[in-house]
Amino acid sequence: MSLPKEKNIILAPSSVGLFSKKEAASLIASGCAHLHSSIVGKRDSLVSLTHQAIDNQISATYPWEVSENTNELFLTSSKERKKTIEQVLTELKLKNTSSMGDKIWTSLEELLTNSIFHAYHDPKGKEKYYRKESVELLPEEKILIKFHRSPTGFFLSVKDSGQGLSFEKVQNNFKRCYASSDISQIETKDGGAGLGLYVVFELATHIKIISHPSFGTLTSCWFATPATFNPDYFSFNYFEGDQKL
Amino acid sequence: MNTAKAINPTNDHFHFEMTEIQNATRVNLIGIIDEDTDFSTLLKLKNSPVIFNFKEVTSINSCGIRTWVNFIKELTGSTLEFTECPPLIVRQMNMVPSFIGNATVNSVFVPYVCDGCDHEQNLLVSVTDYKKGGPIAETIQCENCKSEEMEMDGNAKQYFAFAK
Repeated sequence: MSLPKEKNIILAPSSVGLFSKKEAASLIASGCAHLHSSIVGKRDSLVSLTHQAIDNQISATYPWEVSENTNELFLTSSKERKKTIEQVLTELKLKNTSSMGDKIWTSLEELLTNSIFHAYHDPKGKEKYYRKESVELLPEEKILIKFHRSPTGFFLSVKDSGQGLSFEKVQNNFKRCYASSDISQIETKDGGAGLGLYVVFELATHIKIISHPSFGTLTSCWFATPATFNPDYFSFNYFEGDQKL
Repeated sequence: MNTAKAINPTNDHFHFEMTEIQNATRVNLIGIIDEDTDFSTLLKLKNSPVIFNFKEVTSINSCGIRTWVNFIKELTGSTLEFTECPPLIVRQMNMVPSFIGNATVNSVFVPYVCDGCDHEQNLLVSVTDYKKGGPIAETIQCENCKSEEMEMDGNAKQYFAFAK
């Protein structure tokens, strides 16, 4: 189920500095696919990993994604969504009433609904599943959730096998959500409200997206504990692959 | 004085309670607000004062935000007040300003976390007092380990950004 790491296109440019989430979103909206906010700038070890990945034309694996204790679950039906999220929280030993439990619940809910309702398209290119319908995914469409906790934070990833998430869509999403403060932030068409990625970006410390038109989208997130949380320290990295290359 | 209370289930994970109080209707929102939530029966409250209590909202997703924003947009002519907003609702108010619409936010829960035992608790704060310059306690006593090391989880200025 892992996405191929070879032959990825790495979208550039990258930005390293000290940003607010709003400033970062503006940079992403204007084409920055790799962004690190850190007080140590280019000396940050995550920045080095990103630059190595760009140089080597592969996607990066960050230390916050790696643990011997990573758990896995599959989601096969929209009806099972809430039960699955509860199971993740239970295995992470989190109550949904806690601050971290709320962050994980909200982020997982948004990532799963994006995968179920937006990743899979019919032969005409239209979204296959409708938001208000109960959806049973095909076996090849099941969604993989990975998660673990460490003393410094919580890891969560969601992988679907859909059409991929273009960087243009990411840019448009950030433009809409951050450029306005009125109702135009919200998509009014039937389907999603278009706030999911915005919500996750606001909640997570680190986000990595790998989109592959033939293999789907993997979104990985890291949530720092209150003791290690620093609002100036976060990252966003988008990698796009193409099997034809 | 409280009068009749009506409980309205809209699905298996969300319902609301309506209570008549003096010159307004108090609506307690309870559960998860998402794409299945239906506020249409509350549209009869148009043109009257309504106090929404968010204390028992346990989650809201992006479709729930849209449902809510569209609902209060339709609730024309009503004087709206929000009370006892938990952090998950304050987050929405800061991220999606149209979540508040023309409502007045009366009170919010401010989250605190204990340095000693990681216990979390919320402190109810009057937004009116905050706007008047009332201080937000930097530390409070932990009800779990009784230490005085319980700090606000986040930045007060950012948390109250909706109150500008």
